[in-house]
Amino acid sequence: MTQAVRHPVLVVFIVLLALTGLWQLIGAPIGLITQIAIYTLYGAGVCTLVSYTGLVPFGASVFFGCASYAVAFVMLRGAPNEIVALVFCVAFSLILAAVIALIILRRRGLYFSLLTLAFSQIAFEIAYKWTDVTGGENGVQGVPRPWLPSPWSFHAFAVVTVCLGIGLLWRIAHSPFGRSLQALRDNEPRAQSLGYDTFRLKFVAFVIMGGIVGYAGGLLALMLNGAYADNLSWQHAGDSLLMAVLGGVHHFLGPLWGAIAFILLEDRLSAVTESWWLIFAPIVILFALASPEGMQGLVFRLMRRGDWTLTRKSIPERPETIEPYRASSAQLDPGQPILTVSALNKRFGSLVVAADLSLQVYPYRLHSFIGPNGAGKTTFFNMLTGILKPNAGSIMFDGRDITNLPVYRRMRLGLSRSFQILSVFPNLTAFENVRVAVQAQDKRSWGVWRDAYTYDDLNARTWSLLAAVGLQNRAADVCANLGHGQRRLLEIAISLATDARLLLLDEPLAGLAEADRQVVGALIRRLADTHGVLLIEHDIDRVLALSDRISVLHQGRLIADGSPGEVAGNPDVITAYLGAERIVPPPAPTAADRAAHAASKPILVLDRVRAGYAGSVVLEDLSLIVHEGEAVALLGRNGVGKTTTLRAITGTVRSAAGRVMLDGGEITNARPYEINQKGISLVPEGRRLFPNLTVLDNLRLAMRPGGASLEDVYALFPKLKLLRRSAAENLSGGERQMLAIARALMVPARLILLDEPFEGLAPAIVKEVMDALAQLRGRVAMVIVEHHAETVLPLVDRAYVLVNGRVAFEGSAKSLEEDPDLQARLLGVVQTETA
Amino acid sequence: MLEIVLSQVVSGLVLGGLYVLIAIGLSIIFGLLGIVNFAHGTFFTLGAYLALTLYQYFGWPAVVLAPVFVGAIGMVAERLLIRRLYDKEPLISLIVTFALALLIEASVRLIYGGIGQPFSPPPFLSGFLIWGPVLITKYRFSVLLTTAALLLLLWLFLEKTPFGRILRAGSRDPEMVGLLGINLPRVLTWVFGLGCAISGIAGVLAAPLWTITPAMATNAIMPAFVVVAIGGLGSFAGAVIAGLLVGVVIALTIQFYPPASGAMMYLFMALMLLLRPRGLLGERWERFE
Repeated sequence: MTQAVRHPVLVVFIVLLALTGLWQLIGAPIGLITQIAIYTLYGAGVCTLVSYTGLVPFGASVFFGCASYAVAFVMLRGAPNEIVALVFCVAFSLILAAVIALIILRRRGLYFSLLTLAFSQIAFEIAYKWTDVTGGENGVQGVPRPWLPSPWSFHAFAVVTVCLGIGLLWRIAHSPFGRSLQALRDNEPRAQSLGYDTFRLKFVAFVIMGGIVGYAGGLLALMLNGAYADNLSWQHAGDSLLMAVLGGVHHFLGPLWGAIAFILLEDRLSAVTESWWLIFAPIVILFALASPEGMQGLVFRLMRRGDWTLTRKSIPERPETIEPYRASSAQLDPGQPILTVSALNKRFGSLVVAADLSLQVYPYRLHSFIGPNGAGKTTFFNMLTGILKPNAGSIMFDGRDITNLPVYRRMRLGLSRSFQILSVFPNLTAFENVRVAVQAQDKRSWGVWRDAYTYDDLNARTWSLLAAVGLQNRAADVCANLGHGQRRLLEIAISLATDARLLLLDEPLAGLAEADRQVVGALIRRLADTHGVLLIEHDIDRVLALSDRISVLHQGRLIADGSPGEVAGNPDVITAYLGAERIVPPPAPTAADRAAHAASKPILVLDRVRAGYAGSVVLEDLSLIVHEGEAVALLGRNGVGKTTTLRAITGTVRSAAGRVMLDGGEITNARPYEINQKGISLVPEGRRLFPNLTVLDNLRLAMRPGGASLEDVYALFPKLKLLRRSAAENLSGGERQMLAIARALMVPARLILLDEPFEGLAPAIVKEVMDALAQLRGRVAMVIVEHHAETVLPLVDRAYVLVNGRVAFEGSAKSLEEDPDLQARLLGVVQTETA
Repeated sequence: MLEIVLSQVVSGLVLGGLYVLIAIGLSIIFGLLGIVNFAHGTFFTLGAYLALTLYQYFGWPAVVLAPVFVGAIGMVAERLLIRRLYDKEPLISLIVTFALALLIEASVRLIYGGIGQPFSPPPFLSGFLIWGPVLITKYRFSVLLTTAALLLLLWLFLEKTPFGRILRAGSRDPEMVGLLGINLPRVLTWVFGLGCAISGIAGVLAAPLWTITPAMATNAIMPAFVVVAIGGLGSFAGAVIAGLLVGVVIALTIQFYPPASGAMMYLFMALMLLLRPRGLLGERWERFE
């Protein structure tokens, strides 16, 4: 088939024509097909919002219904012909949509759906009750059709204009504006960070939807020679969505198939039975559950195609030679800081996450920002980009105070960020991901008429950017099909596209395999020659090797700032990474204890476990053993997979390979509650208390026969007894940690997993928690995850050290404790290449 | 004049109490399951119809049996259908519960016919009560008392019992509840059943006040949505205050300008949401925005 025959608007026309022919052949009234045409447009209009913008209006019927009345009124009050009435009703719908949009668009998600429904119900009440004007129950009748009196002439008019309307929507979908909407649908925060004014985008999309749906409603009034409140009722509020879902919400032609099925079934079924919903509702339910992509999705699945047809899959032709990427910004003075942060402060309640941060970032340097977990690095980035407002202090960018500018305005000035959690547009091609970012700052991105792919300069720049990160050969692949490393590269290309002068890269190496780390690391180094780069990263070895300058953050304060060599040798930094000030630890396990523990039988065995999140591999062939009553430390720098190991054990992350055995029985990928009932209890990272419950209720929730009693845990943490009536949200950090440990003890556990139990605690509290753990030692097996080796090694029998998802050290705690070189190499900040 | 207003306010409280019952069920289900149950109103209808049917066999105990049956139907619906929606996008759960609503409504219509059926209050509750300026039927007054007692019981249940504790915890961090060894899927089945049963109770109470028709679900679900939106997501107190307010607003509109009584609550909601976007006592729940 040629491209022209496949054009979806032509398909709509041919299908409607075929149905028309068929109906003429069997001599049935043509009104039914006119109705299908009208509802196709209705559904397609709603899909502008649902499929392209990602907003679900449950009451789009407000435009459909009100427009019917609008046409009926003007036709009965002297409008010369149908065209005038339809023009009026479209204008009326656009205004109505604009007003409603201003009221409800600030709300998202379910609130948005319910608010649109509320508006349709207001309209219904008015139509139903305001009998003098709307005719109430009887509706407005006797609407004339002077220009198109016969059903056939009106049918022809309806089919042609519906096809024109669909054509308009197709145009819009492929215009730069339509593509912006898709970006918004896929990832609104990312679209914002590229400089899109997402409220305005949604507003325009909503108004377009209102106009299109209104036109369809106007046609219906002309077809029925009247306007009725029925279409506004709550039973019909979901009509358009039902049709869209039935046909396939992610397919451009979905509304057509949905409208045909919906109207033909309604017609046939209601001829057989009055309760046609008895048959139709199960069909809808089955379809929605079994084939969420609708009828077209089902056909595609049979044809083994999994894609969407909202847009074309093709991309513009790759040029013969791709222009090499050039940072297009003006030359910056390397001697002048591009970013100056002065005395920045941020508190969350009593928790200080940034204390008097002052920092200067110069262009054409790779400036890294490091610090142990919870140091406040991401908070700092969020203040730079405008996601969080500082409590005090100022941020100057390129000589301008940006402290109070919104996110998208900062991006337009040339401050661009990549995200810690991969943030791309998953349903767009790699090419489109970058192109949407390239067009973001262009006035032409509001165009609704020209095809987005016909802007050669934007295409050329997209190719340059893709080539700059080495993705030019994967340009046509949908983002979801790219590997994790490639998505990282794509993310960086998107960040570059905004004409950035300063790139903020938040952990660009997180979750990457070693080979990918080398590629992305080299790219970052190259970018530093053309931009200012501020990098947050946990891979300390690589940061030390790549950076020109390093700032170290610890507990919200800058503790060092200088060249990699200076920073690596700074005693404060070493302390921050390897352990806080010396706390007198409780007595270590005796040699006899250690021997006894090691000789008892294994309670937990991980055998070559592989696990990760959405395409990224965090654990690779991880094996470890914990014996009964033994305390084991799981050490490693941030991001090496310690928490993921615990998640794989507790069943909250699926293991892709390998086995997890508890006491000889397999628990791999069992449900979390079953694993807990078998005897594994967790003190999670961040404590995860239930903030709305009291201390006592948090404990009681976990309490089961065989576990610790309230008296037991109060003996262990006397403070909790005093606080038992306070809500967990009012506890201090240390109290929360005690409660989290106490809660885990209420479960009859044979193995307790503790994720960073000393995180963010003051030294006195650390001591208290350590003493408690020492008391538990021997009674129950423990796995303690830590990044401070010194804190935990005196407490445990054995230790494992993870590096990039694998076990790099396994042995007695004592041997690791007595080998500072080994510790420094596996856990510290000393550069491995030179060590 | 004052007498009329006061009497209307009391009727409004009766009506509002019913709205609170329906909205609380909706809110609990929404908070824990993350699903806007469009079919919630039809469980209200089922409550009324089942009371009608069971009354013929069991007499007055039917008013207790009917909500139990409704709860059981809700639990079956959760096991067969609702459960499959937890990992789906919101659009699918909107469509499926909407279709379920129309399915139940059509079933009721098929079994009982579309004509309204009367359900008289028990004889000992006929007649009026008069306190100074306030005039109220005995039945309405008993509905008000029953509603208040039910809400108190429900509050005690949520605040003081182990099951209530699980619900409150699960609305904040369902995964962590599972990590403490609690079989959350089973809890969710019971929660859905509970929410439906409360809606069923409201249906039984409303049966003598409203005519029982298959379409009465609409008059239950839309006010419940409005109440939840005004009161704030997941707030028990918010739902109570908002429900009573909406009831009173509607009753007063009926007194002074009857045609606007239907539209008034939506206007009231729009106004409230402009003033307080998260509702009266709503908290910020990232999960639902």
